Formats: sequence, structure tokens, C-alpha cells
Amino acid sequence: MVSDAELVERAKAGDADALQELVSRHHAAVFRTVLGMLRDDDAAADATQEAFVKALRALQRFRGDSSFKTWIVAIAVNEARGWARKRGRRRETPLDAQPELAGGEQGAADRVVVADEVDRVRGALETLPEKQRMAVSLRIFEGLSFREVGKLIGSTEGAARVNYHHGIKRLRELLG
Amino acid sequence: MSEFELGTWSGRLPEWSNEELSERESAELERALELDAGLREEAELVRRVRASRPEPPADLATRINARLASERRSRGRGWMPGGWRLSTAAVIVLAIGTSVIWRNQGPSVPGPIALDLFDPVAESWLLDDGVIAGGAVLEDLSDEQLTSLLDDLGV
Repeated sequence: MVSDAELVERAKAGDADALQELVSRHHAAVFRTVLGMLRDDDAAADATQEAFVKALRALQRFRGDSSFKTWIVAIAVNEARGWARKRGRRRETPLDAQPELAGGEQGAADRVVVADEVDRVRGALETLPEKQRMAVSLRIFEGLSFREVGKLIGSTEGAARVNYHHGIKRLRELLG
Repeated sequence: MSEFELGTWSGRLPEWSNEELSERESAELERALELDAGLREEAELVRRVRASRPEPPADLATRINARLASERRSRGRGWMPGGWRLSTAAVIVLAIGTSVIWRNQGPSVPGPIALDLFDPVAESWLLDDGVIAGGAVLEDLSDEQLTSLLDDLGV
């Protein structure tokens, strides 16, 4: 598989297919991260688009000091913070905003059970302070390292680790 | 098992849950899971959190790609080759220099002309030509600092 670094170089040289591949690989991580901050599917989708537009504008200056994924997520986090400031308040996630569930052949009853479970876990995640929530979701949803998480939440690697473990401890209390 | 080992394995559970550990690490972690009930509970929690991962709308990538294509078209130049960037940078330096000279020449130079020249120039410089025109200033900034700068400037 072509590495992100190679795709970035090709995108810098004007290869639209390389840019599309980067979008394909990372748009879900960007969307999930801003969704966790904005708690609104439509706003998260719009903020994701804006983040990629800003990344395109700044792409020539991306030097690979961090991974492309960390870089685009950092742009998205800033974008989402801007949106949250403009909006002035954070709306709650609409009740019908369910994640897409895997397993199309599950029975209806199974789907309801899974949806309840998903609601419980997501509801518990939403009660965490922002840094703990981001540390947990960036580690578990996106597989980022503690060092990368630290960069994104504006703290050290050690503080990111502490935020993650506090978040996990709290989730165990809430969901245990 | 020591607290240190437990903490280490606890921090690696996301990779284990995503099947990103090496065979050896995975085997060691599974031995740790057999020995420690707390770690097993945490592994189950990580699995549940992972299963609750939201997915983006199915057409989001398509929408982003359409938006990026539109952005490139509206800017006209897309990704400019180096030669064009250099030419543009030269024009920008000339325009800024000229506006500074005009300003220093006193009241005979109409102010609005200098402003009209400056705004589009500034935008072009920030969006496209930082590598050339601003190279000396921006060279030492990390990607995060550049991102933050762009954000502060509202670009």
C-alpha cells in the first residue's frame, strides 16, 4: 500500500487521485473527532469538509514533521473549536443520530440491543471532560499514539496518558 | 504482575483490540489478561468503546472531493509548479515594495491604491507562496505552528 507520505508528495505535485486517496483514508477519523466536539452530524460533516479545504491550501507547507493523519486531525480540531465558538453553545446529539452499525443480517431485536449498547457507551463518553473524551476516542477509535494524542489535546505525552486512564476509569464506573 | 507491567499493557489495549500488536506482544498481553481480572474488564470496555465508533455519512468523501475540486478550480492555479510560484513571489515582492515606497513618498500618493494592491497580495502570499516568499521567516516553524498561524489568520 502506498504510504501517506508518498501520497502527500504526489498531491503536492498536483496528483488529484493522491489527494482523493488521502481523503478516503482519513475523512472518517476527522469526522469522528469533530463529531465528538460538536455533537452534531451535519456540523461535523461541514467542519470535516472545511478542514480538508484548509489542508489543501496549506499542503505545500506540510513537511511531514507529524503524520498526515495527525496534521489533518489537528486542523479539524481547530476548525471545530472555531465552529463551537461561533455557535456559542454546543448542541446535544440528536436522538436519531445513531452510528451506522455493522452486520446487515442481524435480526431487528439484535439491532435494537446493539443500538442500546451503542447509546449507553456514547452517552457515557459524552459525560467525560473534553481532554479525557478526546484521549479515549483518539486512542481507541483512531489508534493514535499517546504522543500524537498529546499534540492534539495540547498536552504532553504523559498528560495524554493520564487523561486516557482517567477517562477509562470513569467509563468503567459508568458502564461497569 | 507489577503495577508497571499492568499499566503498560493497559495502555496497549487499543492496539490489541485493533489487532495491531505483533504476534509476540499479543501473546504476552493475552497471558497478562489471564492473570489479571481488572485488565480483562478493561479489555472488554475498550472493545465496547471501539464497537460504538460512529461512522461518517456514506457520501462524505464524495462531497469533500467535490469541494476540493471546486476549490482548485476557483483558485484557477491549483497547485502551481515551482517556476510559477517563483514568478508570483517576485510580483508580490515588487508590489509590496512599490506600495511601501509610495507610502513613504507622502501625501501625493493616494492611500486607497496602496491598500487595493496590498490585500490580494497578502492573501496570495499566505495561501500559496509561503514556501518561496516567506521562506526565510517560516522555515523554522513546525507544521503545527504553521497550522496554528493559518488558523489565527482565518485562512
